Amino acid sequence: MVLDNIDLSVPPRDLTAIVGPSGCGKSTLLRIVLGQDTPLAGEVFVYGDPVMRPDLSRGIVYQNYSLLPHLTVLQNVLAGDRLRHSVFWRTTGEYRAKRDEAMQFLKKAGIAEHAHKYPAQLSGGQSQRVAIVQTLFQRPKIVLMDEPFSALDPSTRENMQLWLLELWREYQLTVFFVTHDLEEACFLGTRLVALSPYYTDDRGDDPRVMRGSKVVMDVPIRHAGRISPPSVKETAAFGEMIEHVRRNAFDPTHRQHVERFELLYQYSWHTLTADESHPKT
Amino acid sequence: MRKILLGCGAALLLLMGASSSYAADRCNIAWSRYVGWEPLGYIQSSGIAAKWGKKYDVKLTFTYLDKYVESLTQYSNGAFEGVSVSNIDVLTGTAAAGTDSTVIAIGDFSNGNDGILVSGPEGVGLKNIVGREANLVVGSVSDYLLARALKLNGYQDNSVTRHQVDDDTIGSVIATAPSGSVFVTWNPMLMTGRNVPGMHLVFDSSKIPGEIIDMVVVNTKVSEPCKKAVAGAWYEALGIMSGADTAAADAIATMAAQSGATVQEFRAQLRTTALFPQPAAAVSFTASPQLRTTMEFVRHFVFDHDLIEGAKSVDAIGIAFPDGTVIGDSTKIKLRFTTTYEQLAAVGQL
Amino acid sequence: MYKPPRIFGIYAEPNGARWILAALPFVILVAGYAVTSEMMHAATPDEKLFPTFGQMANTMWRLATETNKGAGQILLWTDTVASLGRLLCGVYIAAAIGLVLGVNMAMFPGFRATFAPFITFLSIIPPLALISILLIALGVGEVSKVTLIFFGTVFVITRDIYLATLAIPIEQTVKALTLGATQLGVVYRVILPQIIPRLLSAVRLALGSAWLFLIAAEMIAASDGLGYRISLARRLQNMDVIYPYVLWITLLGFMLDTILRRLTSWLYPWYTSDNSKS
Repeated sequence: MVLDNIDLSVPPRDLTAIVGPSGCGKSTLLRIVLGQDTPLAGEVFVYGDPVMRPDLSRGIVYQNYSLLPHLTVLQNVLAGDRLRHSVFWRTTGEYRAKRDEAMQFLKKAGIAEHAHKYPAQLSGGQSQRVAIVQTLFQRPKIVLMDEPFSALDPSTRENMQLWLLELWREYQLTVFFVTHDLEEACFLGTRLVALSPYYTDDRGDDPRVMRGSKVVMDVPIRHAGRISPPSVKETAAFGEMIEHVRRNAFDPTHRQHVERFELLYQYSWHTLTADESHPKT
Repeated sequence: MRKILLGCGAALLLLMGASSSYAADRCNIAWSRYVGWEPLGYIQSSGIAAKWGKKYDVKLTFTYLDKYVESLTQYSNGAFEGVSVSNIDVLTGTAAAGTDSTVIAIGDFSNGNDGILVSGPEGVGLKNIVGREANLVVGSVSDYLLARALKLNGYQDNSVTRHQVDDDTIGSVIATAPSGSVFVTWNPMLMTGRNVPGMHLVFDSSKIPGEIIDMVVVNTKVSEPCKKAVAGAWYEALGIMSGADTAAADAIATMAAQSGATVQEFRAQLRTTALFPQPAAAVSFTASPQLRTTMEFVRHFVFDHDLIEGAKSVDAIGIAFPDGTVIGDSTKIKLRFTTTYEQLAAVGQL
Repeated sequence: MYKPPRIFGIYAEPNGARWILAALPFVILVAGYAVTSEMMHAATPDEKLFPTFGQMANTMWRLATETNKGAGQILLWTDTVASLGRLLCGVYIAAAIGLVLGVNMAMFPGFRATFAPFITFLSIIPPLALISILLIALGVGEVSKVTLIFFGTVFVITRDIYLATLAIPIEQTVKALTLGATQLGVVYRVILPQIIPRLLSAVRLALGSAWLFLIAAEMIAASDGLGYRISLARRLQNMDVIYPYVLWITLLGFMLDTILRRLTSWLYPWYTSDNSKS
């Protein structure tokens, strides 16, 4: 078992950063939300509607493979519209309007000059810019991001982080951002969710007890609508926060009991089953 | 590097040896499947070969090769001293390859053993093949038969296109051929093909008697004892099988069995094969002017159909006849008709 | 200063000698043959089994430029056109069907469950064993030859396409679905176009065996074609036709392969992943 009884609610316009040690199941959680994986039990709702398979309601930006290799940058941005219409749609005026809109978007993203290149000809940062444009162009209700900047070099990465924050503010995006990088999570997120397999409960030591990762921490980081400058990363408070998360979620020798998880976010809650937590006598 | 050179040298020597040296006493004749050549198998299995080999002090053997074409190639390449061959293939297959052959015995001519089949309604004739595609072994006696049939009936040679079908395959495709198909083939495929419903025999070699000739030839360079031993064995076998006694019946049964046919089928094939069991008859056939006329037809056919690669004229190959005359290039005689050995057999001096 | 060895050992750096080394086996083969044929001809002037290079060149020139008396055509070109027609027709049909089968088998588990065992079964049949069946069932015309080539290549192509489709990351499918594509849209408008250049590589590989089946079929029943000419030349012992024809077939195969490789990089500039390897 990878994930163990996860309750999570993401309000609109939050930028939720999911962190956790490698193998803790944060990508699995994202794939369940996306509909790529099916949970053994439980459901996913978007604006109250249960969702199953991947569809237009949830956009996705992967670390790799987000772009369709046989289409140019512009065609990739238009891919959604093309796929939802017949092949003859490309002769209509509607298509031309869409194409101009896509070019505008690419221009704003600073990659208009690459519009007619293929993904294989782009650098890592350019690819991820196109992938984000491609996803946002479909106006999904929630944007899922799975380690989107993890393969980039540090300076490109910081540029991308800032750009993402600008986009998030400008388009009032709801983002579900998975990363293994605590600094990135603390810098980007309005809220930080830490998944971890390192905790204790009252289920005992029986090897038949199958434990999975739980949300061990769910805290607000900054107010929605505010963007911090990169210099915040240099402050002592920022460093302390990272240390705090590292200790609670990443340190196998430090295990909290399920009742003592730090769940301070306003929309977070935690349902404990009877065997996980016995009433103390 | 030295090793490579040595290896090359060894390979060359082997090749040279295979093509130019003849063991003094070896007399190995290759033969392949055809009703008129079955006596060669009988000669080997009945001990006649051993007997004549002993008489002339040569190692006389008759080796069966499943592939006719392969037997000609191997013969030209020096692996055999003699071969069973038709008067068409002896030009295209062995004379063109530079091998000088002497005819030891004319065994038979096809007298209905080769034919043209057309599938279609009752009453189809040779006129119905014009404009069609004929399935046959290109460059074989079938091709010659077709050319002669067209010419005798006043049609252009190119009024029928030739479509190659391997002789191993032609028998099986006749059975399922669509209406309008044309096949030119020989026995035993011709016999089974005739019995396919809707197949009609529109022409056969009995209409050009004496033109498709089957014979036993040996390399002219081969020693006299070998040539005589072959002739002796051949006429002994033919003498036995053409008799009316039980020995004849036994011989026929042996040949039928080795060819995979029943005795009845084999006798039916023999009826369309004009064998020369009497050496005297073979002598007069070989010496007759008709043979020269036939060979004129054949060499023109061979030249007109481009069957000798690079031949500048119809005279590229010389053919010698018993009276000493030659048609074609007399400095390049590659086929020698002679009555010498038939005559020796006729007078019992072998 | 360290000087690496030219030829021997695992540290050898042939560099400039590379061309000489590459030419060496060819030179040995050609020289060995030339010596053999000259020696054979010195012994027997009319020898036909080992024609000299001069004879072969003459024959080839005649076949390539002069019209043949019987057929009234320039044989080399007639044969080449006939053979290439059959080859490309068979391989084209095999490629089209292999593409459809391979992609659908990889993408639709139901399709895979239905066809995979059957196709595996068919693919084990040695195609050459089918020649006589094809000739009897389909006649001696073009259909049986094209069918043999088709049968001999379609399964290799299907399998290649199937594996290549499976190797496309699942992320591409999910991504297309989040862009609003339907299931059929994913398969035929996202996956299929990505597979086409792979199809061209698969065809390049399949062409090798396609030639084998083409020549085999033409040697059994045909009225033109490269294999037919070789079988006829064998019957008439025209080795001076056979050697150049074999060389010509090799050259044609090489040219087809080059054309397909160039076509792939020209038509599909985005397809780089394993193009550089071959």
